[in-house]
Amino acid sequence: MTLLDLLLLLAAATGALAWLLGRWSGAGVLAALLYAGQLALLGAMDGNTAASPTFRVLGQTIAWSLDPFGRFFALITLGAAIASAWFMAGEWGRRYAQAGHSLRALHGTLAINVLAMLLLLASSDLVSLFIGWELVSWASFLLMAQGGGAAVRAALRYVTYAMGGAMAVLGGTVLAYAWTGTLDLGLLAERLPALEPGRLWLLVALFTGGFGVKMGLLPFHLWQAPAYAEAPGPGTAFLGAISSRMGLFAIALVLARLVTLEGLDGLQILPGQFGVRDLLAWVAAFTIVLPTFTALKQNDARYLLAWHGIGQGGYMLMGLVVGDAMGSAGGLMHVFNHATYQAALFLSVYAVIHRTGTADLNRLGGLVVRMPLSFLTMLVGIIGLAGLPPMNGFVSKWLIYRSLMAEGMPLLFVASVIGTLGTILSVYKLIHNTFLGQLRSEHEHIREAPWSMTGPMLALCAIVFVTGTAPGLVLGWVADAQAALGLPVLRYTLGGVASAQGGLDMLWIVGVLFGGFGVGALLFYGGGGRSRRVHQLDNYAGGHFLSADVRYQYSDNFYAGLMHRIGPLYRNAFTWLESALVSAVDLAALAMQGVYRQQAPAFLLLMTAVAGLAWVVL
Amino acid sequence: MIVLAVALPLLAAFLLPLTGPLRRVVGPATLLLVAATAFSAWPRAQVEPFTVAIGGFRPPLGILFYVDGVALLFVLAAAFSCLLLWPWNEEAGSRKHALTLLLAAGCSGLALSGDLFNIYVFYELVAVASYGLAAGAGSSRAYAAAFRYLVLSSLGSLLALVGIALIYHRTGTLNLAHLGELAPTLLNDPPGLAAFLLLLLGLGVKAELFPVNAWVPEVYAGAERRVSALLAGLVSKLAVLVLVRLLVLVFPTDEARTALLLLGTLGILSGELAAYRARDLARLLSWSSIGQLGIVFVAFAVPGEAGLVAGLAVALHHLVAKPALFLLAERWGGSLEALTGAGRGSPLAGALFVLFALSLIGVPPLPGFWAKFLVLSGLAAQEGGLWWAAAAAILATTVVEASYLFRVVGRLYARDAGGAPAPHATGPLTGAAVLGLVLILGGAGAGPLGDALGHMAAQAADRAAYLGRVLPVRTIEHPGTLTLNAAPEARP
Amino acid sequence: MDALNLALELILMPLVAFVVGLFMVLMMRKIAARIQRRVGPPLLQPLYDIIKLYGKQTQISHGLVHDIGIVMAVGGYVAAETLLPVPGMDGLADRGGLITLAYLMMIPSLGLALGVGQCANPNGSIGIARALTAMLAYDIPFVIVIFGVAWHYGTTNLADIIALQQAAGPGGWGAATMPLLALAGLFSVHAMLGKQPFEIYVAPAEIATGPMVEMGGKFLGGLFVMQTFQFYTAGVLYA
Repeated sequence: MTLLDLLLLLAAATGALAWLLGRWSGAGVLAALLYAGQLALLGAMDGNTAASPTFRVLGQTIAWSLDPFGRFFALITLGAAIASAWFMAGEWGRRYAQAGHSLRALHGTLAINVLAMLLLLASSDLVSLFIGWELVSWASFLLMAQGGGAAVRAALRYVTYAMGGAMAVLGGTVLAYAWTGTLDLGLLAERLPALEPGRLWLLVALFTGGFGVKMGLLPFHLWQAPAYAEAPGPGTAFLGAISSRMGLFAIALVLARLVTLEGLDGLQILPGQFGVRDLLAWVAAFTIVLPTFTALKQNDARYLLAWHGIGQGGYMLMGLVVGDAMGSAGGLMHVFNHATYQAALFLSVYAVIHRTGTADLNRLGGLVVRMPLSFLTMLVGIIGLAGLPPMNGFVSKWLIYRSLMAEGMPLLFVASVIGTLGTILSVYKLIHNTFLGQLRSEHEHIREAPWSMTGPMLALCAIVFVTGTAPGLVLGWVADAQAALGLPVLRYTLGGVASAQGGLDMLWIVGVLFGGFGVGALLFYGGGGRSRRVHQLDNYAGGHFLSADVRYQYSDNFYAGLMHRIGPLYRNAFTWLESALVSAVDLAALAMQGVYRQQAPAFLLLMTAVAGLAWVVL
Repeated sequence: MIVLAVALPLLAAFLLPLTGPLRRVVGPATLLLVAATAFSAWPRAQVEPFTVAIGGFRPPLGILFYVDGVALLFVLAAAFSCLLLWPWNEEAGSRKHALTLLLAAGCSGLALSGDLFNIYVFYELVAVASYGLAAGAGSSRAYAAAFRYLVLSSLGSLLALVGIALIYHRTGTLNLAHLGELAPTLLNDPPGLAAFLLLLLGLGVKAELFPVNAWVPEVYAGAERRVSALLAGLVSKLAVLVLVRLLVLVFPTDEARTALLLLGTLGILSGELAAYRARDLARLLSWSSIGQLGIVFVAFAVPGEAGLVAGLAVALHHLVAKPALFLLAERWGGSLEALTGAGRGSPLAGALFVLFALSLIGVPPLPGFWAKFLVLSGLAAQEGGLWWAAAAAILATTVVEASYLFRVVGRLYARDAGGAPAPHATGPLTGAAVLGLVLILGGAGAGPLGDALGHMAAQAADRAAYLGRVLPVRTIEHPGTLTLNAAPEARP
Repeated sequence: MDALNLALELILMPLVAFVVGLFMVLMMRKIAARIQRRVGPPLLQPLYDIIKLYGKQTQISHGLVHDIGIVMAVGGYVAAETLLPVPGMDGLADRGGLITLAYLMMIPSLGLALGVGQCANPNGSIGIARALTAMLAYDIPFVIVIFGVAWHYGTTNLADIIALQQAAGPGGWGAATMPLLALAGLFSVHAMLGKQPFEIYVAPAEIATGPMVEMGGKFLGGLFVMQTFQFYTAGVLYA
């Protein structure tokens, strides 16, 4: 029994127990503890850990082994699972079950998702990779479809996309097998870069496109926001935190470890000017910018965050394809960071939904006094999401910016900054419309969410802040993952990065920031007349006092001026493309049905026979 | 001994009215005996295929059965399929029992026969039995569909007969081994290829080969589900098997493979796309069946052992999955909209449907994945646009397949149930459950199963050995087989 | 010695910034006055303004977030100063660099936005929405400038950049070697400060946007904003 065996067994047992005991009131706590147990096993691992069972199918050995790169993702997966299970352990779960949903099924699917992801992360050949990939895809389908109604429609749309991706991957797998004669990742890493460029191009396109579907890379991103947003609460948090990062894992595995950066550099469109890495970086840039500005237009908090999830994936890919020590570290670290703050944000949104029953940004407002802890969570989360200091999102984005500067890619740099600015705009809309502004009279007596829900939220906040202040904690894992992938390894310190060309020490920066806040507070509270606290509903505007029954919250069309400028740029081109494709398939299907519905099949048979004979004779 | 596999059900079918109080058990018992016969020959055939000359005449003059792993596998499949899809609920000794037994006999015969004459006879036997079964639902729609099927199928038989006649005219023999020996000199020309094409189209009617499969949706939708299951699962595979024997032994030419590949690819595209717009479950499954058979053809078009293994895997998988799906469709007739919430009404049926749908799509670790993987890696190993186009077609249509199958699944589990269909009768449900178990076991034992299939495919692909065993005297390539197969087995 | 030095610098740098900033505000008002043929305010007028605002009797707070917003606005700039080297004092410049500085400067905006949001005044919210939109617009040229500078000198360390510029003499100053970038930087900094013609989000013509509902401390924040921004201009373009 190796540690990986134990880990996978425990993950499977978690699934079984979650299914068996799902109706018991302590199931959530139990599940969280079991995930924590898995995390402990993960922590006990070192280097490469192989699983003892191997299978020989069709003359190929299929095996599993977890290296530091996979372990980094496994850690995030389990962390997200703990937070989600904890969140539904108490009142949320009871309410969910009362509403006629199956809490047991939710616990069970979450555990299955974790197991599938662990299997994927531990794959050591292309077949086990594909098996893990499909398991993850279908497990997340289960999680998405739990909601019923709109959720099922979104999940079915996802299935089509996911299968498209999976088939591209399968095509890549069989081609790689046919050309190299092996499925083992280690051997492939030796043989793939030696392939001729045309073949390598095809493989890179198939794998990146296929895995990119899960990541929501443009133009395969349309499915993601509704599918994630409509899942049941903690499921959304889990999916949003880690699920699509499996795509990044696989892309990184194929590009960095199998094809290698040198192999990628051999693929040029305009030799010396524009290669496959530039192409991918531009895909990443568009993935950052377009979904972020789509998020800006959303009026549902869940959709807004889900769209940002797609955009943030672009940063990760961008960092990765830049490929130097800082960029790839930033890309990988952003996976961790994004998981933490995104989970926190989704959970806080679901805490608000739990109390108010809606995530519609036009039906909320002023909740900060009623739900201060949820507000705090969201504040920490949006600072992380926007990538501002002192949260961890800043550190990873800093690394990515820094590498773009070092490699001299101004346009990509500007694109990623535009993404960040768009993020700031939209997260402010999120927090303003939810927690700030006018409190609606029907929300006047709302209480803060229970501890079972605020607990994981605050824990995630603490992680976001601590890893922002001391990013070295995460960068250690990142550096190990880089080494396992064969990328250049980042030189890190506890506070950030040491570099002759401008480093980063978050310990100091956070220190002076809070010092500055201290000075500010001192100036504010220490000097001048005392301020008088007025009631939240005591307001006036334009010389009139406003009472609670008048709605004056400014929420709809929040960035009217901006939308006036950029509004016409939203052309829904991808939606159009998608429906065009569906129509084309529909038309082809109609034509094919025509073949089978014709009146004289015997005639066709004779015609075919004659045609065949003609082919033979000619 | 092995001749019993054909003779027993044939005999039982005709004697059924005379069996008196035993008539309820005679049919199933016969099928069990057939299976037992096949099992008893199994170990020997695994080590070394053997031949059985009927009537004691040695080939090429006499007619014979060639017994190898693949043949036995399909005999077993025939027996078990008929057993599983046995018309239990019909009154004992009815016409349907006899027809099913006839079908079993014909299928066993097709699997074992070693010459074209026998193949044609058994093919007609299967055809007649299937006409009767297809019309058996009694509805006017079933009659119309069966008539359409009859016309097309007879025309196909006619084409096949012309093909056989052409071959006989060129070579003067119908023994497959003998033909195999003569083919490189006598059939490797346009008339030979024309004969193959005629046979392909003729046999293709039953094998759901594009474009001679227009009868499929109507018949499958009109006939009883049990019969649809038999036709889609079993009969089509036997027709394919015959074509494969021809392809391996008599026509191992590039042109023949190209024809198979092309028609197979078109079948995949047309079937899966048509299924995308299907409005009821039975037609959806029929079109899906056409698509799957297309994959089988594409797989067998791949030269060498790789193609045979892949084709066998896909064929066997479909043999298990499609009958089960048709059984599940028993109560799920009518438009797809009517299925809303049906999966919640009968959870086991819903779960089985999901299981088979996943396997059809090719989700690992279910067997459907390994089958598809074999086909695709076989195709990827070939160089050339047509092969890759076929692979691309399979991959693309899988997406379509997932889309329409899961549209059904989504409907099965939809919440707003207004009158969901009645739960399943135990009979079909048990049958589907058994097949589901087989599927899961197959997935669990994919490794050993793959090795066994590889072994069988190696046997079946070994053209020289086949010729050597059937015609030991003339064999020059394989003198070693002479001693092992010197004496054909005595009459049973 | 080192630690002591550093501590001294950390205290001095914001102070210097404050004083220089006050002076700059004064200059601006003076120049504006001179153009309009007025005398303009006396030397210590900005300081008087702050003290006056602090001493006001009626100060309304709309809740904790309102207060914290102001604290963040001021504190963020105080922190930013320590990353911005001035002659003789490097402070923490080698620990952050240009990018950090640029992002640290968004913290006050966010603080301000939060504080205004808590006031539940729709006009305030509109103002913030405009301010953030404007930020989107002016930050893009601004980061292009940052990128250009960092790429040109091959480092993001501000202290190094200054050292490199000093070494090259007046001909090597940023404005001379990269005139276009300097011009773009000038524009974006101008917009950041909310000066004409980029003043829409401050909305001087409309009655009530953010500042109206708030109190003295807020104004201090506003002043600080201006000082540091101006200071920043010097930092990026001429230092």
